[in-house]
Amino acid sequence: MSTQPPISRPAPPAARSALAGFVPVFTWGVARVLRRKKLLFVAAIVAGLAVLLGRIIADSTRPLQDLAEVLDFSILSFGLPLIVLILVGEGFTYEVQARTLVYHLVRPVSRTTIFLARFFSGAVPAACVALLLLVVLLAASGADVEAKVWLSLPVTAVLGTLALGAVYYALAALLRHGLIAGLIYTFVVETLISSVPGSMQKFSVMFYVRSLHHGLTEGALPVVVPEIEQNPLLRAATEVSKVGTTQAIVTLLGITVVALAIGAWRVSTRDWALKE
Amino acid sequence: MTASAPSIHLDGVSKWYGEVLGLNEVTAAFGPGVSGLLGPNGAGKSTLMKLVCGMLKPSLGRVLLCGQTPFNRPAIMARLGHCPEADAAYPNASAVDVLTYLLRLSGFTSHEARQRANQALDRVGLADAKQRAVTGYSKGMRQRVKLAQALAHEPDVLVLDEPLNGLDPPGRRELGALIRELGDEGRCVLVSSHILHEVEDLAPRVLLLNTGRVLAEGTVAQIRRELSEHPLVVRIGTPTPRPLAARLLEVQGVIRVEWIEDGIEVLSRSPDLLFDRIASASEEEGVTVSSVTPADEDLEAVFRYLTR
Repeated sequence: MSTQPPISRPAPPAARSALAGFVPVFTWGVARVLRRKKLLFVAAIVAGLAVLLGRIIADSTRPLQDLAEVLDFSILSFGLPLIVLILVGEGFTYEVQARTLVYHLVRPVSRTTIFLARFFSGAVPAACVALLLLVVLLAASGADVEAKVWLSLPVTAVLGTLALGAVYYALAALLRHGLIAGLIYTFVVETLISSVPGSMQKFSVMFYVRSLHHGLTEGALPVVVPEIEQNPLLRAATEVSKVGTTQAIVTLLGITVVALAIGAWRVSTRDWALKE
Repeated sequence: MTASAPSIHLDGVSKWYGEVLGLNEVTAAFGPGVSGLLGPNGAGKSTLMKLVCGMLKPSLGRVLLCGQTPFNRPAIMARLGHCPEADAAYPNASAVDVLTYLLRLSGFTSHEARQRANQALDRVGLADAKQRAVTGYSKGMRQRVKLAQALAHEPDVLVLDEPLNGLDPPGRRELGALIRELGDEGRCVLVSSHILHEVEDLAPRVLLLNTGRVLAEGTVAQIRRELSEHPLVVRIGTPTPRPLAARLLEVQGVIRVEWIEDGIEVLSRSPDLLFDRIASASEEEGVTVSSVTPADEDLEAVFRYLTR
């Protein structure tokens, strides 16, 4: 069906690297996250809750033990997964549901790059909010802790956010309703299974995050509070929540890499009909 | 290295969505100039376009975009501009920001991307509104943004899925002229529509699709000739149908007249002659005619003829 002579046009641009396009997608994604009210809203709620919890801890008779308990059973088991789900998990799903992904698929940028850049554009602000939660809680509690507790916070926030966010991104790439799947995963695996005494909790990402936190703060924060010591079930749960710091770091990085690789593979190989 | 000519080839391409057949053994080729893709909703137009744009992988057959298979091949996308049918916009982002971003994805520097974004938006008539958030635009303005992002990086293959949807008549004329201009520049432009006269205005050659199959291919005149061999149903609204029906049965080409609510339905092989005679017959018989409507002017009816 040819009616016109071919256009005289310069040769197409030279082949670009596999990660070409990463910076624009990343910066655009971060700018979009920052421009939306959701980040501010989540950060404000997180800071408010952290101040509230911190003040309660400050007023208690055993602040260090309460701080350890709140960090272990509230923040790292429930707060962090929710922050990551809200700020990271939605990122790729949004591009699919709003069908803005179509504009990316017809650009000279690999699907893997789009997927990874979009992930990091959500993970960076989420890690900052997670860190905000931990820092404000610690500051508001007024607990007199060693420097290594403060230093453990960014490591825990960043590695926890990356690993959990990668799992959510993989779910978003694999399933049609990725955000709902992420929510179910959070409650079933990261909240329920990670609290079940025994080795089952090793299937949750938060087990390794808690292990990392315990490892990094060893000796500075009480790992087992008296009530747990007296309760055999809780004691069993706490005892299992320990793998070495190195193993925890390697496992969290491994989860991040594997989950992102699975997600990127799925995004690269599947059809994107993006229907109305 | 010389770039291959802008072209699209489909060779025995089929696409299933689960058990639903979206495209059925389509073979077609499109070169420089504007080509039309015509068909009712669900005909397979968007599926064909998504296959060409590498968003879908063919279940059978081969799709080539400028000589390369497009599925998951980012490099060839530098030569492609795609205007999707879906209305997709980033909330609170201005048109110029969105286009600048997309041009950066195409490999342009920030400065060059913004410059090209401005030029493209000016070209589609959005010069005054380009700093405003796209989500506040009318449907027609959003169509213009979609077209602008498709042509901003000056691709030599353009795949435009219903690009004139939602535009008012002046907007249709304006963007129609732009699309023809792109074809005249030697780009390979594939435009889809479900409106026959719209495609006729844009594209000298048309591929007619229905239920995933190619029904006809050629110039609009050729397809019209094919259609003209099929009888046309015309509905005539009148409170006194009997005398009019008797007169119209005498008209050459009329095959059948049927009574319907509020009038008659006439089946004719010579619709032009029929239309001429309706006015004179009604005047001579003193019959009031409230409406004359081709019952099957819509494309789906045309396709029903072709598929009989």
